[in-house]
Amino acid sequence: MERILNTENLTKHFGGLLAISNLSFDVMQGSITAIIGPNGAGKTTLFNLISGLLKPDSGKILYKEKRLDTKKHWEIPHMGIARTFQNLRVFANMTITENIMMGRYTHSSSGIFSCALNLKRYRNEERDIRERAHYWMEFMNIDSLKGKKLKEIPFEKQRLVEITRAVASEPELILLDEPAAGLNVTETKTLTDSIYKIRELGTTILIVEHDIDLVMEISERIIVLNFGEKIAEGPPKIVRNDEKVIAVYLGSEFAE
Amino acid sequence: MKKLLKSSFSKSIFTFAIAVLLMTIIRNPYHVGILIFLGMNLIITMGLSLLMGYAGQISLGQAAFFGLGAYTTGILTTKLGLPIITAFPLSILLTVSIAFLVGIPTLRLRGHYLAMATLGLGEIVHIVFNELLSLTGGPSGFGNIPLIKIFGIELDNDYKYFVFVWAIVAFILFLSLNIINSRMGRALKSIHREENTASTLGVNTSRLKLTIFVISAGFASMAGFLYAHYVTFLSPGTFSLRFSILLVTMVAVGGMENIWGAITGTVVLTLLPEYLRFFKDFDILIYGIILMSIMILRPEGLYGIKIPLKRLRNNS
Repeated sequence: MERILNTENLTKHFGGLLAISNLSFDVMQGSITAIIGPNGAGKTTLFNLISGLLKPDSGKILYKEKRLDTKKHWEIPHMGIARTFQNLRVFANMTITENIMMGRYTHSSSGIFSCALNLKRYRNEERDIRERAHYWMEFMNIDSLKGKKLKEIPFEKQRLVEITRAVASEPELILLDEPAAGLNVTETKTLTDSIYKIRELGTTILIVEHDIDLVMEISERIIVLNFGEKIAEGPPKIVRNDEKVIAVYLGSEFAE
Repeated sequence: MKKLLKSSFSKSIFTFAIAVLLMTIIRNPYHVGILIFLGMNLIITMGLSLLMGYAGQISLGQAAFFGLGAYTTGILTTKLGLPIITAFPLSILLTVSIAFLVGIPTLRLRGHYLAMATLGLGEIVHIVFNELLSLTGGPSGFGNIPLIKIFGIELDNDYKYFVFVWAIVAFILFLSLNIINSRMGRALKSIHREENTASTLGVNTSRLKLTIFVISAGFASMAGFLYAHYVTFLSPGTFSLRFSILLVTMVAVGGMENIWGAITGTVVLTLLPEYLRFFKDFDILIYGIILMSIMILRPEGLYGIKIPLKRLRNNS
């Protein structure tokens, strides 16, 4: 198996706070890799660094052995990386279908003039965008939401809309930031099924999640962060029994 | 039939047809003249609606772009004796280039830097119109701008000019509606909502904001071109900050969520002062009260108010 993403000695400060400290790890192609750790461990910062919203102070991020941290943030999705956000970032000023169609932005190229003049090339592309958006809505089992507005549907479905928007861009690597936050047991089950479905496409999944049961169930490899440092790494079975991890999660007296 | 009416092309043709029909009913040069100015205002505010309502940026320099379009074509046709057909692209090109230069540094920043930069630009342009005496005639302006000739017909009366202006209004509406409903329109809406999210979906946000700003300046200069060859006389007073603010107000009063909001606001605020003249000295007071009431009672704009016809009918 080849690695699709890796970091080398990645470091990021916010003023005096060390958010990511000298972090190096690999993500294998086609795997489900989870990043866990207590609040403030630097998980979301790491996602913001990978997706280019933040720039590292030092160290490198490589995607398919090419530098990612030197790219502009809007170029990164064009390389095949999609992400979702912890605090739901769907567009309330658009319909659900339009939200998914935004996921096709990187696969379309009509400029403002061919759009304004309604040229044939643009009309064909627009039809293709709509068809693909519908295809991915069916794939993620949310085709019943076609034509609905975001405010008409529950939170759980809105989260699926956001994930579908990311999947619709047909990424090779998808970053899911706490997808199960705020979901109940049944809703989490639906989410888990969706994650497996995405993986079957050959997409690599990197997931940040607080729900330890979910993480232990789905991931093949877990990276544990604490205060921006990697304290453990490996398959769920090993990480679960790691002394440092238990200390971080349950308090040091349990590690004895 | 319903689907036919929904396309941007038929909406534009329909708008043009209503305007021409209105003209044949009115048949009064004064009122037709007002509707010509309405058409010019619409061309500017449709561009401003793309910028404000969709890209979420405010420009206080639209009057300056309007003026640059007007003065450039005016100076080129009178002082340099160029034919209108050459002056037209040059006046658009000059305005668009200036907007581009102002937009590059300011639209890289987030927040309302564009409003500040265009406020400054508007003042600079106003000063240039006043002080560049040899070309602009200074505060007293200059006249004798030639009339437009199209297919051998000179647009020498209000009725001919009306048709010409409203054909262009329809064309600008067609372009704007197409942009709004395209991938570019969706990208604009996404920027307005959440700029970081837009960029994680691959939208080059600074470039798209710049493009829309330049397009809105292009629309304004188009209106300026039409103004110059209609009024045939230009003086700086028309192109002041006051007019820029009025244009922004039109879009805000009508509703920013939708281009039809900008159109509603422009129609209301262009026609209202004309019909308030009836109140003589009190017109500005009543105008102010109406504006305030709209913003207090309906802050999201006039467009989309549902008149409860059903309830009225049930009650009676």
